[in-house]
Amino acid sequence: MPQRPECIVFRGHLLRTSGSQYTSWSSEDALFVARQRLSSHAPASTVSIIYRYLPSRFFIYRLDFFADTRLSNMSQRFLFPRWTNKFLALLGVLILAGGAYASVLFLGVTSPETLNTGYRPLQPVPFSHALHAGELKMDCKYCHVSVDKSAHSQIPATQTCINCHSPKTAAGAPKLSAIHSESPKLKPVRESWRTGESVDWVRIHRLPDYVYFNHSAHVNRGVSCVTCHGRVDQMDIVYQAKNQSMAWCLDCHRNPDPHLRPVEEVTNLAWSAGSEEKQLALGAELRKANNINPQTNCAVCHR
Amino acid sequence: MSLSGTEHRTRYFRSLDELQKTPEFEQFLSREFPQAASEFPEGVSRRRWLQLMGASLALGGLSGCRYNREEVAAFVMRPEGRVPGVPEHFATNFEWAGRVVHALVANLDGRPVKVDGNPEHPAYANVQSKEFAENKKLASAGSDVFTQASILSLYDQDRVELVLQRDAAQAKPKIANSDILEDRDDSWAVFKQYLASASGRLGDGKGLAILVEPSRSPSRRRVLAEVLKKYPAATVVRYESVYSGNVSKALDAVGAVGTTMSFDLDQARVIVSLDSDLFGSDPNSVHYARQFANHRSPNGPWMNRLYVAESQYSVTGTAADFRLAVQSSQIAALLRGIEEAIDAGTIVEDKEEGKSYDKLTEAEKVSRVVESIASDLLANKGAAVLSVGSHQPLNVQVAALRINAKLGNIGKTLLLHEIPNELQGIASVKLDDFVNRAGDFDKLWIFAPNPVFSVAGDVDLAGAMKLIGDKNGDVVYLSSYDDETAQYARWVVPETHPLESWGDVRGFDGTYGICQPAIDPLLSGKSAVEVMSMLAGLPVVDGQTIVKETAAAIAGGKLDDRTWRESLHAGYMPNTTAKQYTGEIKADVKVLMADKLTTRNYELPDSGVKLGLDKANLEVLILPSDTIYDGRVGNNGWLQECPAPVTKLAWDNAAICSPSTAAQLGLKQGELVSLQLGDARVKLPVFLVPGHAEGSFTVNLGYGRIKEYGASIAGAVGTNLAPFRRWNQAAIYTGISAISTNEPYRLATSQDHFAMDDLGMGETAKRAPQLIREGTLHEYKEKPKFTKDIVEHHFDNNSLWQEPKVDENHKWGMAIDLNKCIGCNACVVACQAENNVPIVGKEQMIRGREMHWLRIDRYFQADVDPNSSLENLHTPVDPKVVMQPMACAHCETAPCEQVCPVAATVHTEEGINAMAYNRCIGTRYCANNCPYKVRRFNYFNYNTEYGYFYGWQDKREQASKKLQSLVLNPEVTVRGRGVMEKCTYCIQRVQNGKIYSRTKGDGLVHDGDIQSACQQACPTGAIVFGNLNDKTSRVYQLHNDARAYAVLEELNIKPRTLYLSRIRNIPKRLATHSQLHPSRPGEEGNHEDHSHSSGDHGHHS
Repeated sequence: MPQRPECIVFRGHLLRTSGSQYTSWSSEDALFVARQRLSSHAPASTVSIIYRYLPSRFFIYRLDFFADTRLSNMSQRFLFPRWTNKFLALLGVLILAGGAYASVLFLGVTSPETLNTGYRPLQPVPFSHALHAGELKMDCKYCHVSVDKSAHSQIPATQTCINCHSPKTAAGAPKLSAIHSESPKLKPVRESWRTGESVDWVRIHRLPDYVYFNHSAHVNRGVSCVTCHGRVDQMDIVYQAKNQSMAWCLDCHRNPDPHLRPVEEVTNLAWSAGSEEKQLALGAELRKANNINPQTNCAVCHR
Repeated sequence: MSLSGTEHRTRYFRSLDELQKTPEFEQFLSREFPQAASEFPEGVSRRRWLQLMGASLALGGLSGCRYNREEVAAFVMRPEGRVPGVPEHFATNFEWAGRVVHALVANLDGRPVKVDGNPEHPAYANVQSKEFAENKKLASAGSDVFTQASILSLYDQDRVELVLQRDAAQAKPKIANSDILEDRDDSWAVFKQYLASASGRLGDGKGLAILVEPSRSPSRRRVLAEVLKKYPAATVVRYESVYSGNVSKALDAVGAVGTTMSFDLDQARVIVSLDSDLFGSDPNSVHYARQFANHRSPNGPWMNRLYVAESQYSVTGTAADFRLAVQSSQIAALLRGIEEAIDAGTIVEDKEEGKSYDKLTEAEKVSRVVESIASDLLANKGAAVLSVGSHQPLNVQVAALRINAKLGNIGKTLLLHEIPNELQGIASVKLDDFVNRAGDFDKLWIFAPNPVFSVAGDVDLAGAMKLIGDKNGDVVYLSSYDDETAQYARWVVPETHPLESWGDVRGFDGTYGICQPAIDPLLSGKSAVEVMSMLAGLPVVDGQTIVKETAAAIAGGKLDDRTWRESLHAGYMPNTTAKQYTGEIKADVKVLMADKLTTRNYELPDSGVKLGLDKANLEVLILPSDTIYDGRVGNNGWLQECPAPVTKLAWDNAAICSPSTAAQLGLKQGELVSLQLGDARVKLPVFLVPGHAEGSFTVNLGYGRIKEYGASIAGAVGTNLAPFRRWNQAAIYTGISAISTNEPYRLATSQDHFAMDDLGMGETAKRAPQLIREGTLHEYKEKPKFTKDIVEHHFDNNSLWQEPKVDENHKWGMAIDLNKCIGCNACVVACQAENNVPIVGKEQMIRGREMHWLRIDRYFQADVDPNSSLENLHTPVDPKVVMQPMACAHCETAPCEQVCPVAATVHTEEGINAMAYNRCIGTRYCANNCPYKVRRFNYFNYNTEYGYFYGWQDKREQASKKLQSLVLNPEVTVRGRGVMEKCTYCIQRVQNGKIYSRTKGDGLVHDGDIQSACQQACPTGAIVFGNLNDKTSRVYQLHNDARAYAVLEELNIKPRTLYLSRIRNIPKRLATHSQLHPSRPGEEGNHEDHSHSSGDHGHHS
């Protein structure tokens, strides 16, 4: 706390000297004095505006700051000339504009919807989920093997690609099934297989480190891949379809009915209950049958 | 109403400061953290701080809004069965800090993250308590601090990572500190070249000395024999840093040649431990502690009784029903008294005597103790054990065997296992003989951790190494660190950690277990077996093959793949238990002394036992540390920062003595004392422990490493005892003098940190102890509900808060049985390992900033007359100890939650008081409002940042380092600066257990599915976690036990962790007045009726 001021100067006007009748200082006290002393120079409304918008402690502190000296030094001290007053208005405009800018920045630009949704990096291999999962109807779990066993769904090993895209051996014949065994697009995969180095896939869906999401807990309880990842089976280049913010997680944890389906249909991204009413009825039924009571406390995801 | 309670009031205190109400303690009580604890550390001024903060703010704005691009390096070929994020467990066995560990290592995504005991190993599986036998899931092996902390040593980046070469003793090593991978292999290639050239020069091995420490590894023994086969003239030098040779000498003397001794405490109704720390420093402590705890329930068919007579206050002493503080050097005389009483054969009936124990003179006390011990031993022939410390002299060891034989305990409670053939001794010389004849040798290979540091001061091993090294440079030292010994070695060969090497070991009963690696060597090391086989010039030098060959020999010549794999999987090879010795024990003194060849004295001295201080007869007892053993694990931060069980001292060793001894010798806590014996002297800080034997000092080994050689954690911590120690004296040094120096010294101790305020000590004296509740077995049998009566009954409190909604599926809770807890600290380190709890260093610890989520409060209890003089308060007589593990109790109406301005700590439906770290803004209101003081604040980024930024110019204070970040449990958030944290009931285990039950189980969490880390680590099963909604669960039963109570229950905060009161099975003759007639303010019609007891009413007058 600053020491009690000996005197107060406001815009160059002496407001109070030490030894005045006011012994305890509050913003009201200061304002009372200010009103008294300023009545001939400034309209009372100016002061009252300051009073309304400045927190009391701050107010006294600032007065103290300007007044920290003795009266005798007053004439030598630097004071802003009167003409600077018109910049106050400009300052006000700047503050308002800055506030608007900040709120746009923080509420709009940095929202998960803006930052996360639609993230669509290019992968080292132009692997098409639309082709594999969509057209060829390969099950998600063929590659993402641990999605029902672990927290992580797992990016497939090179070996999984090689099952179908095995390179030709020295004899010229492929070992396994050799689909596009010489395609230049698959070169990183063949390189990885030859050298034993990983293919460096680019991560798309990424939750903060302090979020402990568990795939198996959802997939085994009838929450489909599509709920969080969208129609991956229609994506040539995978992008993040949902914003995956905490609020978005909580929506479903509060009311899972619209997102539940029979467990065997979890990887069938095209599945639909038929209509919204049917989905809600089915969801409620499944929730009851499987004792699904998602919690919304912090510890569910944050450890 | 009689006021008998006020005269002899049992008082609990955690340190003498508390008892005397010093300003320092008051400060701990009234302030959450001591003065200046919340200020900036030295070295960074506030101005500099602001500059740095400003800079980081400015730079913070420049980084992008989105996460960095992250690449996922997928496997090329997925290891079979590997599921990312799901731990795999491997059973392994290894020698660690002087003991054999049967471990289960949790591997997560290819790296070990947690080491626990292997519950299926016979050493633990056969001693599971009955309560757990019904539900195998509840079974746990328990472990100790060393096992728990072994994982941190694996990721110690101070370990040597390539072969170092020195041109001269103490020279700078030639290849050092290169982090290029090729250099590691290069350095090994250079060493192999040297080896090839050396083997030519070795000839038949004349002049070759091989320094080994005792080992229970058959492979090591086999390969050493191979070395001797190749170099028959070589000399094996044996060296044991913590001497226990008197035990085997005694066994040899009584005819049980080549056997090892162990106890079966499961059968022992009476356990007499004389200076032997069965549950602490004993290599089988985990096994013994479980056996002991199996019979600690006052409701069981019988409850064992533990007598302890010792000089230091050991873990076993705290667990004792009755403890006598007596000098270690007087144990022999005490034992003589016990033997004479046993020979007399009189069983004295245990009833309340005219004078209670605390009213006796010292001589009367001794004779009554001897009578009681002898009577109990005689009454339980074949079901009693008398154990003496392994540092006690030969005559005591022989006498203990003799008494046990007389009582018929051998083969029942005391087991003698014949050491299997492949461990039988190899002809060897003692280290001092070798050093004296060092000139005869020109090659030396060392397979023992840092002997130059740990050896007694009068054996100049460094000189011998220098001498040999200067001849032709053939001094090879296998070591994990570039330590004191390495300075005198010409070659320092990196040694692997047991978790990254193949090996094997025989358990205490001979059970053969294999050590399998959980990860490839991180830093290019090789195991002792591998390096020895390189020396032996064996064609195969790969650890797995060597171990497999040994295993084949043990399995009976042929080992099929199935047996091998099953042994690896189970962690032991079945049917490999050693045979028991059944021969006679020939321990009669006359017979032994009749042997003209012997120069040994087997007779026990007839000097009588004196309990008081005799200034002419001071002794020093030098023992391995309870946390860093002989210093070999000293670079392990978890162990360094683990407060010693009784002293609560960390990062230091001290001369521990009793307050009255200190007062009479003019010593003060926090000042240095000079201990002198002849020319030998050592200066140590004094640390006072009530209940330490008078005229005795206890000092721990392992501290005082030379700063430059001690690596980043172990260097320059504590005092080296080598200058004081003598080779011929194992542990007990008598006839010393202690001289005060008045030099101040700062010790880091956690004993007063987080003291719980219980309305002040004055009020405590009026109201019976509430934090710690205890009674005797007699009282429990009469009034099973006495625990509730310890407190004046409170009116029914209505909560100010809305009662929380409780989930119908799960209601988590914990019960801690104080009767089982021995305060061994295994839970503390286990919690640290599981929950990524950082270490903070000595400097921060002095400020009370240690981060342990789980602490063990150690309360002394003594009968203190509140009107007595200050001197009496200074020197409490016969204090007893109760250990109380204290972590967040997850109060249902948690006071911390009410004051958090940002709702960072909130309650879950299931009753867990959760922390959302990212919400926390660090106001520390919650810690202020926590009555248990269990919340910890991150003053710094202890887990990531370190160095001068925080005022630690010295790298020795660096807390956690880069390679060590691999030890972090990926299931738990790593907390940053400015965040509050505390016990979460292992929320990650709870959540994963629930997920597991729903994805792979039947949808329900069964009792034992979820064990908290502390529960899993507890060797005695004192901690039980579970679902209180499940009426069949163990924790539910314990919560409804008559002994269950809540700490500070009058606050009506409804903690989910309840404690079960401590019951001492003390004989009435040895009970103090307050134990016989405890004051129970909550009892109805209390104090009015003493007629039921025949006892002493003298206190009314």
